[in-house]
Amino acid sequence: MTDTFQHHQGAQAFLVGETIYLRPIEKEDAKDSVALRDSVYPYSPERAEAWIKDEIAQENPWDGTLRLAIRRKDDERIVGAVTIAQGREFMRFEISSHIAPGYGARGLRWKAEAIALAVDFMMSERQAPMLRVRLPATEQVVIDSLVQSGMRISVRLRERYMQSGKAVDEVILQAFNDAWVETMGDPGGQVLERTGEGTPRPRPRIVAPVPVAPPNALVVGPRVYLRPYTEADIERYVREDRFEMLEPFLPGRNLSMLPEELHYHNEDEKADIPGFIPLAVCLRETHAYIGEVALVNPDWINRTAETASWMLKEYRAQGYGSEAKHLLLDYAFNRLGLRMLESWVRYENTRSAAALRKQGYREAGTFCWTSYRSGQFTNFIVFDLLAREWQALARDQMHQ
Amino acid sequence: MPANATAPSTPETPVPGQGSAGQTFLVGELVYIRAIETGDAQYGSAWRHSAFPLSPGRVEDIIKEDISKGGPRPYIIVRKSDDVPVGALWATYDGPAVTIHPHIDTVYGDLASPWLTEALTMALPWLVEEQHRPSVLVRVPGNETAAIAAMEAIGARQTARFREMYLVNGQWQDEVILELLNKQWVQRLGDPNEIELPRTGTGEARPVPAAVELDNDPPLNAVRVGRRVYLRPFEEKDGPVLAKLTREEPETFFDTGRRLYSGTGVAAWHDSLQKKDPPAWIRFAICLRQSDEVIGGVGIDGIDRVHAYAESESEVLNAQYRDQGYGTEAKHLLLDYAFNTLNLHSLQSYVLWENTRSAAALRKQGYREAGRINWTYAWNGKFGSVAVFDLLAEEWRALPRADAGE
Repeated sequence: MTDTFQHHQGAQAFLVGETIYLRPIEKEDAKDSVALRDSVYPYSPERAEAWIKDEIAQENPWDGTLRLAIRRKDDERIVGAVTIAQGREFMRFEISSHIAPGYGARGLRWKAEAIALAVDFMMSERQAPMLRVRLPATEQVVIDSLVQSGMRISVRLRERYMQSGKAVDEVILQAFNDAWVETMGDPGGQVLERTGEGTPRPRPRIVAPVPVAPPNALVVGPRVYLRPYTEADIERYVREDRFEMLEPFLPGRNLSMLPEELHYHNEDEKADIPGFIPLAVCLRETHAYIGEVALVNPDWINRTAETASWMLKEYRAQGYGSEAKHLLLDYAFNRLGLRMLESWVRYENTRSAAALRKQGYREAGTFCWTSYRSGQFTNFIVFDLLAREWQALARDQMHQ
Repeated sequence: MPANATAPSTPETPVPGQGSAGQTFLVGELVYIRAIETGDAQYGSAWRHSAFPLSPGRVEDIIKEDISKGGPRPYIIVRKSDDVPVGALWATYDGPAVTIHPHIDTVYGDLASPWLTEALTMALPWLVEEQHRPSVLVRVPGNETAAIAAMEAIGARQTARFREMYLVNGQWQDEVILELLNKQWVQRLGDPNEIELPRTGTGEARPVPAAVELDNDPPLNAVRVGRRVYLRPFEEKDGPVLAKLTREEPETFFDTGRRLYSGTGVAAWHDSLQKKDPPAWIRFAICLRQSDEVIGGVGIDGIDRVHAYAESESEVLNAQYRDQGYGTEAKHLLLDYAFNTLNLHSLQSYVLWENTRSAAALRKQGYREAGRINWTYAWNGKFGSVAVFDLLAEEWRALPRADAGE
């Protein structure tokens, strides 16, 4: 901390805008709990004080998450907050902001100003090569102002939010550091390689098994079924890491740690409302575990999630993965009542992208500069799928 | 499933299909009912009342640590032919009524319907006649038509219907509440369905107060602001205020008698609700805009995230602000939060029969009568009943809005 970081406006040398400025959150700010906390749930000053002392104060001030109060310059009132997530891997920068309810159009202008200050600070001073901001399309004022200041719209996820009974798209904006653009070339310049026809195929029938369902099954298809994960499944996939082939479509081989995987699995299962829903894919014939499909970060207010899937190498490219994926989609849309799903795939992973198109997903945009690849930064292609689109897909009549 | 039909059955390795042998009751043609066992952890997806997957290891912990400590009891529905659990009747013992929430393994689709039907037609008479409970209530999705018809055939009656409560395969399904009453208790107390619900008020919905456009800053920590009141999270300092108001309560009919809050206790309780993320019960303080004084609370309890329903509750604890529209204004701010921010699809409300004032307020706010739930608490030497209401998000959005000046 330098001596310019004093707790009154005139002394702060940076992150100061026209109408607002950004300042680290202090214990005494807890009285403004609703403005500070980016949550729709009620949060008292006492809860906020505990959060500030027990969580925010414990974060590493150099490369941890940076949480700043948005203060109005003319009267020091806290009207919202900005969070700058800065990971050790340099692609992980994300800025989000929250304004307390009740400020209407003024609040959106402060939000635009606050995000722009944070973006400029992170790019020009803290050397972030890239950072992103996610906003609902209803905050057009904020989006326009960020685009005007040089951010680009990379992705538009359809119907990502529900607001007052209406579906609202999400806009993902990216800012790129000029110096890095000079070194690497324009991030939009890379060509996406495509395989497959890119058209949706009929989805397999969901089978009500006669007379006996596989043990603990949640959804059953013609050849595979989905059931809850067990510790034995986790041991199986961790062991499998060592036998993976160097495939051009994978990001390079990985070695997972069993104790870590078991720890996270056990912690996830303790939550009343899960934040990660993995399902084991098993063969109906032998009950063998052959892979995983999962819903990541399900959002119960907006009824959306991200999908992920992974198959053991000997079960790839034979349709098992697509069948399992459609069982996951059935579970997500018909059992959990989700409205929309998204999926993120690396550019080089043409196989997964082709599978998603085959399963009915649509391209929502390209998210640039996400990790290292052959002396470059590689991109993600982002997909979305709406429940009603999936429900309207043709059914495969071959399987009974 | 490998099985040697000639091997002798032991408690550790029962021969498939023999699990009901010797059981003297609750054994049907297709299924039988038994208490939960540790081994049922292997079949958690079949009987757990949750759409979320859990490993057998975690389910075993839940059986040992949670289910054995009281709360709803799962009576496991087991298929006779192979002793595989295919569902459960979750029973809550509360006052004179036992409430059954059935759950049947969804992977069987329509195949499971006869199992559920048989289990319910065995369990209801058992609870009412053999266990002498005054009443059993069953809550089932409206598309379980075979089970509903079979329960009616043995004397159960539908007393309430919550509209569009479950989202199943992209379709909204109602929830039907059926009751089977103990005949001896009906003889003693009379048929509760013949008693007419007492009513006050016109029963008509009134316009929703207009949304308030603020010229100035909102009050500190306000989540919703109306013309005269605003909602904010409960804080520690509200505890003594609420405690004082409960001690000054003049009316006795809102609940079964007056309640007394301890200031420390009520503050700690609100804090415990806020500690949970996501919360199961969300409450806001109702505050006067003019003085920031707390006059009561509104909340949403029992939030079901998959089916997007919850129960709404409200209390104007400061008696001097009753009957002047403060409670209704606060309630509409809560409804705006519930439907437009949390994206809930429907809300329910439960009111004691004697509390005609709250029932009249609900009708005024746009709620519709969903029926009644009889015999759930003690009242005047008899069992009292509850009037139930529901409100859909779309209905609330379609209600007329008052002009800004009103």
